Amino acid sequence: MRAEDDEAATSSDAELLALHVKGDPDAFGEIVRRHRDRLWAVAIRTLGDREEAADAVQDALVSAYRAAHTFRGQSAVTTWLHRITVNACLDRARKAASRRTSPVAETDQLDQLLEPQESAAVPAERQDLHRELLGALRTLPEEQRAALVLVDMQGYPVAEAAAVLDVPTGTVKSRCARGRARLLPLVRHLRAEDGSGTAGATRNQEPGGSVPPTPGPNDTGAVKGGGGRA
Amino acid sequence: MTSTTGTDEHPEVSELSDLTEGLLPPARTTEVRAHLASCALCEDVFASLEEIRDLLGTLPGPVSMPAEVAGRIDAALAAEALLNATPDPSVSRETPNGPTTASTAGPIPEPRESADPPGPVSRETAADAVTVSRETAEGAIDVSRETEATPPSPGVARPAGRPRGATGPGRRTPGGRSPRSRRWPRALLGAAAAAALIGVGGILVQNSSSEAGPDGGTADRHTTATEKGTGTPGELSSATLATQVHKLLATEGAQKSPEIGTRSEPETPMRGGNATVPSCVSKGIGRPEAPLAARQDTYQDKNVYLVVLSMPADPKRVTAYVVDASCISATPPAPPGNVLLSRSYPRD
Repeated sequence: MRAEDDEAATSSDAELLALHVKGDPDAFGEIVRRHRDRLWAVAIRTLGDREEAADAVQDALVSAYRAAHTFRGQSAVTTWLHRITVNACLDRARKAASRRTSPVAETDQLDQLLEPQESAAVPAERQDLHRELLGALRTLPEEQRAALVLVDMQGYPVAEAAAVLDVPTGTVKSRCARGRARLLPLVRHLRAEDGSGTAGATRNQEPGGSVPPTPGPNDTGAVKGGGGRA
Repeated sequence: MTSTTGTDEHPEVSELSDLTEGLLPPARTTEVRAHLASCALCEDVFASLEEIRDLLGTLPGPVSMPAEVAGRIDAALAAEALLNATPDPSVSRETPNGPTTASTAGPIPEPRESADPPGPVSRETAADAVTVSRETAEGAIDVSRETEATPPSPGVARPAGRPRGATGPGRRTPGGRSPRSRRWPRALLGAAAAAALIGVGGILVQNSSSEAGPDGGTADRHTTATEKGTGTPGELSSATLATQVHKLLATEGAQKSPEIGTRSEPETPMRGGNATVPSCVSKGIGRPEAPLAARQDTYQDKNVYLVVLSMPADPKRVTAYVVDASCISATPPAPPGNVLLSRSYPRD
């Protein structure tokens, strides 16, 4: 498997895929090595579960392996791989959603998604916020979540995400916008340090509670709690 | 979402969010922007939405695929490669006519146009490719791993000639395991050699490949025989086990009880076989009845006993055990032989 690595290392993804279709035994492995980390990140963030994510990526790559001959070069190989992976994830997410009674994850389950583990350098309240955000993310409809994972979390351009998700760019933007809007109340209540009425569906059940004042520079006044932009 | 303010002039949170994405109609965009300029409350919501976006972008997350996951995927792909390399694959024995209609995965049209990864891309998406990936997801994706413990149905989207692997990795006994139970302990995954042996290890042995990862990913719940008896004659591998089992049954049947191994006599299995095995081997299997057939063999460079027993739950099927024969020479009292592999197959 190592013999042709040198050659493989210099080939483009598309060339490698073509080699794979022709029967090169190493080409697909090289493609996998190039992209698996990003596919993994997308999968685990979309699914929120390590085993499910591993299954999804494996299914996707085996599927891509078999279907490589159908790749016509109209998109980047990476886009194609991402598409297959995201679809595998969405399928699993839907199945999981039908099984799950509560969409709220356990804390340790969320923690495993925050890897590498957050160090002590990260303030505890910030870590809480991260967990809260991940937990809230799981409550979103899969498609919104997938869009947010690709665009906001992984930083893919909207157009790339649209290609991966196989929807128009406007749909991606819309899913991102709706997803963020749904996350707003879940995240904002953590920052509501002063219990005053904040906008939106902010829950102020923790007035003056565990959340210290936000570190942001613009504490914009009494009417808003936690307006700081950290 | 701004209803708590009691003012219906405030735009909805969703509108504010849409504004960020430029999704509002021009006229509405102007209105909302004007409102934002004069409403601190909405400005704050707007800012919070931006903050959520930033937060999502800065969440700590995985930077690389864990080695154990990478390993099992490599193993799955290695198994796939071997299956592809099999020139004369057989058709599933249980679905003799079924699989021939299936084709690989179906096309997975890639999205139209794209820049190089992961660079910025600016384009609209193809509308003509909409159906594909669903197809992929439903078809190809589902086939590669067992997801349930039910018997296979004809016409599963599996290409002709792509025999299902043997029972799933980590399965020491045939029969149902829930999908949940596939969450193997990490330790098991980590024990690459051991797990690979159960999964695709045997397949890999026949190809002298050392690429086995900790998991035989493509292994499926049901096994079909690979007619191609690759590998050294007399050397077992999980890929050829089905063939070996059926040969063995046929031999035993011819010698001792002609009905054995024929589907026309499903009642026969519960009768004990005539083969005998060392007691430590049968102890390892944990079933006292005499095997239908047995013989010595080698598996993974070990001396083993291949033992075939009927499957109590299903008279039409047999279970094959590969038991480490080293217990025979062990100092007495001989410990039970270690079962290296067990699979079940249709009798014929």
